[in-house]
Amino acid sequence: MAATVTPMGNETAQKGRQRIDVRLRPEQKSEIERAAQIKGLTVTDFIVQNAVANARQTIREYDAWTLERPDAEIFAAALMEPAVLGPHLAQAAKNYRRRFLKS
Amino acid sequence: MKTKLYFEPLGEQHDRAAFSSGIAAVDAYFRGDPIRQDVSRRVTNAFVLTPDGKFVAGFYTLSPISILSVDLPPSLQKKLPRRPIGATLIGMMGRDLSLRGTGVGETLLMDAFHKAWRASKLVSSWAVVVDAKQGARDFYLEYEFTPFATHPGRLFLLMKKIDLMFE
Repeated sequence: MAATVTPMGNETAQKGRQRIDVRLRPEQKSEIERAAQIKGLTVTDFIVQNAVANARQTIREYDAWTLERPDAEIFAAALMEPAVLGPHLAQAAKNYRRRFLKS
Repeated sequence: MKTKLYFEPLGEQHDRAAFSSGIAAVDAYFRGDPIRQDVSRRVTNAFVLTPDGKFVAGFYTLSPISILSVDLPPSLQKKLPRRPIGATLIGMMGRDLSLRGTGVGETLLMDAFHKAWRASKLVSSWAVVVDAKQGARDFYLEYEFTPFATHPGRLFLLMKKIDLMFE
């Protein structure tokens, strides 16, 4: 295994940092170690960089949905249709209005 | 239980620790720090249904999201702008296990619709959307939500339909 090189100033950068303990299978670990080696990163840096990038992407996709076909078609097609309430939804709304909106 | 329930914004007075919906992701979010952090950072608003200002019968969160439609066939293009449009996300919703089968879920959903509808009169919103957690999809389908094809857990209900519920 490659020795972990500790860059200068790492000591202070470590302050205030937090830990996450994860369990993984041996083959997953050796794959990660191999990939980190290829990228020239420590295993920690490799895991953190990838996990953070993935987390950001997940959050971005959550806050902004990009609809491609066929989802965009489904959405646009619904907009073309006239708005009609089915009986179940209409009744649910009526019950709610009577209970919460009439004072 | 025929106590009168009412809605109010989530606050410190609510007994979040005692809440249990039985859905791990919902409980972890509501009982732990995430919901408090999201509310204090204005990522989301959270509303609670309660009989007494303490017990949480149910809750839901609302936040704004944007939807950008790309790759539309020309016949549908005129219906949607080529830039992101606003929508209202029900990010989390849950009711206490003790109230299962009492229609609390419907009440929560209707209140979310009502608040989203009122807000849409000030800041435009095209739809209420939801990222349904496991098992919740059928619930939303009952209330005329439409699922997306490539993300079956994501569903939407157009605001023009919700208009009919409150106008």
